[in-house]
Amino acid sequence: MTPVIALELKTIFKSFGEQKVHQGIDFKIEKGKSAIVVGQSGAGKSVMLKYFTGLMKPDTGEVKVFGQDIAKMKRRELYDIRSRLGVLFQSAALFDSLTTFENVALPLREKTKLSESQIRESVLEKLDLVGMADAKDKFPAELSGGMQKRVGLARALQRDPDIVLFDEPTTGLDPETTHSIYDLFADTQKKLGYTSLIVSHDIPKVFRIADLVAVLSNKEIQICEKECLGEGCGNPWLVKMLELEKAGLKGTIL
Amino acid sequence: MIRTLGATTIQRLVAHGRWGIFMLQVVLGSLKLPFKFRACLQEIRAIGADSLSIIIFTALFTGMVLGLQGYTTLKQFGADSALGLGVTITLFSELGPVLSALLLTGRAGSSMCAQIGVMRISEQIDALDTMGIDPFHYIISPKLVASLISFPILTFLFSIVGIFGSYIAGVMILGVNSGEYYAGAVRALQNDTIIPMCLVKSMVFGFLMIMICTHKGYMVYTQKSKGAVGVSKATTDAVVFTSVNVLLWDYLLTSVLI
Repeated sequence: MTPVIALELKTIFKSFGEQKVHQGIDFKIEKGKSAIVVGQSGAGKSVMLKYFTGLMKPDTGEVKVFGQDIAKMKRRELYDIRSRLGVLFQSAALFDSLTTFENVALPLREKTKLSESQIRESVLEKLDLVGMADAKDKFPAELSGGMQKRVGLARALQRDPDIVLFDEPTTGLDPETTHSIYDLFADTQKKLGYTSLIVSHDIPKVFRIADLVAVLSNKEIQICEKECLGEGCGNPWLVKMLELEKAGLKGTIL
Repeated sequence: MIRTLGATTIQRLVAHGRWGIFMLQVVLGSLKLPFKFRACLQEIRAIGADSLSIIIFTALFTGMVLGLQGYTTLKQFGADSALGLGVTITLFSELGPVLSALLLTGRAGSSMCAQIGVMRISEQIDALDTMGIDPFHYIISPKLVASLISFPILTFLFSIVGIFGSYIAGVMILGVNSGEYYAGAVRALQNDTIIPMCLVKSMVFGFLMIMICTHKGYMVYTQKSKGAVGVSKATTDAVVFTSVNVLLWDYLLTSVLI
């Protein structure tokens, strides 16, 4: 049986003025799998993620979500596709004026006709899933970075998306919280079966939850299978990062 | 030099084109259902109710100064009985709409620009977009509706309090006949153009404030400076551009409506 491709990039070129970011990159991920995108700063990792949300368009090439080219879609069609996506932003992007409960309830209140009791039930279920049910009445400013990410994940999962995109979800978190956040991703993915695409710089911590790793360097992409990740899959940048990590120098050199 | 001039012209045209599209999206967002009734009430409170004290204070002293200056000038021609007429026309047709708009821009417009700018740089607007929620409908349209309701009410209030301030200075302190003052004020308001001019100007200024201030916040990423400095710069630009536009449009509207 042919596997269903959830996300796909075909021959993507993108420049910002004189600065070339992507030079003909190709990428795809099967439904239900987990892909990690790593690469040096400014390599266009977050840009790649923004293609799939429709927040940014490539100069040329195709961006497909479940086989549909979103670069050619009208706004309404794009909103329909987005209803199948969940996104966890780097800053969690919670609304300051809303409580944890209201933040997680927002997509349901705005995009569905569920009753208030159904919304309450669904929100509490998702908050419980990420271990944040006790903080439902707190405002984002009262939550730690890790807690904000958990609430952000609960909101991203609220409409039971087929695909969840994570934009550097552990930036600014301590190693212990980073581990617990990755455990949470793996756990929720196992329970809900979504396809995940994670943009990260946590080499090699993030590899344990990956089915495949895409390395963006020198404006090109290399797809690495899980089996060869330990040795860097022959990618010079990844090999160097792994060596630095082993020597405990990654933080100081980068 | 020609190249620089051409590049600048293109940049300006692009910026105005973006603003035009932005305004269209805000207006279309305002027409979308469901109507954001609760958010509108919150915005009316932020723009209107929370600005009451500053509007009343400024209007009272503006009126008192007008009364004082008007009396001194009119007295020279023996026409101090026309104080009520002159002050009412000035307040309803010019000072009320313009000063209210400038005060509201400084108080509410700057706050809106900063709020939307921070939402932009902290990815909250991107989050709305990716959830399929139209940010124009969710964030900006309640501000537009609230502004179109609050501006005329506050402008009328400003003018009425200003007339009262002028009454204090002209009648209670300087001794102008109160009956003549009242009759003059009523005569001014019976003029067919005064009230419509006040209403039209206040609504146009309210529309301009929302469109400029929210646009500056929404497009904060186009600022050369990023982050908090970018938001601060956008807020300053929003207040300056709105103030300049209020004065420009005041002249244009007066020349058409007078």
